[in-house]
Amino acid sequence: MAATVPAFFTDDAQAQLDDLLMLVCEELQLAPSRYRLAVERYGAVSRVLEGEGSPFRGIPQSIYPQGSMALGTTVHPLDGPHDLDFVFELGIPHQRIDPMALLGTFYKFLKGHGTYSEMVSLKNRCVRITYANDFYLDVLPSCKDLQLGGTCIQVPDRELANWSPSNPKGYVEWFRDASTRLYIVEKAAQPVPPQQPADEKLPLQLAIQLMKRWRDVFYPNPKQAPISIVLTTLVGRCYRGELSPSAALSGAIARILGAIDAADLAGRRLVVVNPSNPHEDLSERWDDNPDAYLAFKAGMRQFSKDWGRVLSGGRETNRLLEELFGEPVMKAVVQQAQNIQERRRANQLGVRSSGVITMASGGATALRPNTFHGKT
Amino acid sequence: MRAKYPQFRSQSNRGIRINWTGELQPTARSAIYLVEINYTVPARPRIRVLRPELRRREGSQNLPHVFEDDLLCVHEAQDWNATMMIANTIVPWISGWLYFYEVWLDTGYWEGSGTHPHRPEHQSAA
Repeated sequence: MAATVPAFFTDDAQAQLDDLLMLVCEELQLAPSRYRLAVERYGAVSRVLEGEGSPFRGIPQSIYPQGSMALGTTVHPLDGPHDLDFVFELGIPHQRIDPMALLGTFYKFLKGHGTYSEMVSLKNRCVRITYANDFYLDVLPSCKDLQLGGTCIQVPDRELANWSPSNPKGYVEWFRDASTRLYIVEKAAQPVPPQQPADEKLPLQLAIQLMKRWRDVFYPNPKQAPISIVLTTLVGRCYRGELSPSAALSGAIARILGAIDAADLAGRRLVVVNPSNPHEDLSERWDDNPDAYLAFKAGMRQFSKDWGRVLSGGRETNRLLEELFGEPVMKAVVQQAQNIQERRRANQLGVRSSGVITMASGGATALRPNTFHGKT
Repeated sequence: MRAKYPQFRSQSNRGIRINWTGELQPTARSAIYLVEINYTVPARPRIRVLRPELRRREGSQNLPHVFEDDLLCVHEAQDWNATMMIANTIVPWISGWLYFYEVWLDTGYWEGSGTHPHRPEHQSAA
C-alpha cells in the first residue's frame, strides 16, 4: 500500500511521471515491515555480541547500517533477497589487532552460537547472516583508525590478508549533504512547496534507486555492470538540487555522459573517487576489466537515448519504462490507478476542458460518481 | 457543452437528436481520443471512440465495460437521466473510462470498478 505517496494527478505530464517513478521506487525498496525486521535483527545480533560468552564483551562497540540501507537507496535484486550491509565497529585502534584473527573470531563466535550457527557464512570482508526469504545481513567487523581519525575505520580483507580502510559514516555524511544542500536552495526558490510529506524520499535517493535498477536490468552479466557505490557516488556528485526524480535522473545522465566525454578527450578513463576518502578510487576495477568500462560507457549512452524517449511522452512511455526498470513499472501503474480510484470514490476529482482528470478545483468539472457497466 | 469543452462540435436534428464530436485526453501522459457522443432525447447517449482505434490486449477478445460495437458503457441506468447535463456527467465519465482503459491495456487490470467484476477483463489487481 502506497499511502504516503500523494496522487500527484495534475495536468502536468512530468508531475504525473514523477508520481509513477516514486511508486516504482517504493516497489523497489525494502518494504517498511522488512526494514523494521532488519533493524530488529541487527539489534539482536548486537545484543549477542555484547552478551555473555562473546569474545567482544566489555569492548566498546556498535553496530550500524552502511551502504544502501543507511542511504535510503535499497533496490530489490532481480533474483534473491535484499542484501543489507552493517558495520560492527570496535572502539579499539586497529594496530592492536590482527585483521584475520578479528574476522576469524567474529565468524567462529557466530558459527558456534545456537541462533546463528546454521545461518552464517564467511565472505571476503564480512560474515553473512542469511534470513531465509527476508534478506541477508552482511556484517563487517572493524576497528577504529586513530591515525586517519574522525569516523575512519579499518576492515579485515581476506584477499589482501590485511586491513582495508573504510569510512561508511563519512560517506553517509557526504551523501546527506549532497542530497539536501542544493535541494533546500531550489525548494526555497519555488513559490509553492511541492506537496510531499517530510518523510518522503529525496529526489537524489529516488534517482539512485532508478539508476541501480536500470543497471540490474541492462547488464545481464554482473561482471560488466558498474557497482552500486560507483553509481551512487556518480549520481550524488552530479546532483544539482533538482526537485523531482525525473529531473534528478536527467541531470545525472547528462553530467555523467559529460564526464565520460571529458575523460575520453583526455585519453583516460573516468575516475570515481570516494568522497569520504580522497585516496580511494572506487572505480579501480575498471583498470583490471577495461571491457566493463566500455560496457559502462555504452550503457550510459543507451540509457540517455531511452530516457530521452520516456521524457518525450506519449502513450508508449509506460512500456519504455518497463523495458528500463522491469516489472515494478506495471505494478506502479496499477497502484497509481488505485490511488486515483480512491480519490474518485471520495469525490475529489475533476475533469478539465481537455478531458484531463485532475484533483477537483474551480477550473474543473466535478467527476461525479458513476458505475462502469457493459453487456451482461 | 461548448462552454466546458470548446473542442466539441455538434450537429443537431431539430433538437431531438444531437451528435457531438471532440477530442479528450484523460491524463497528460495519455493518447488524445476523438470521441463521438450520439444523443437522442431522452435515450441513453451512445458513445464511440473514433480514433485511435480501441485495442484489445493480446489474448483477450473483449474490451472492458462496452456494449456491442464497442460503444462505451460509462454508467448504469440509475446513474443518469435526461435531466442531467451531458457535459457534467457523460463527458467526465468518458475521461474516466479512457484512463482506466489505458491502465487495463498496459496491465490487464481494470481499476475503475464497475459491474460484473468477476469477468476477466474487469478484474482489479487488488
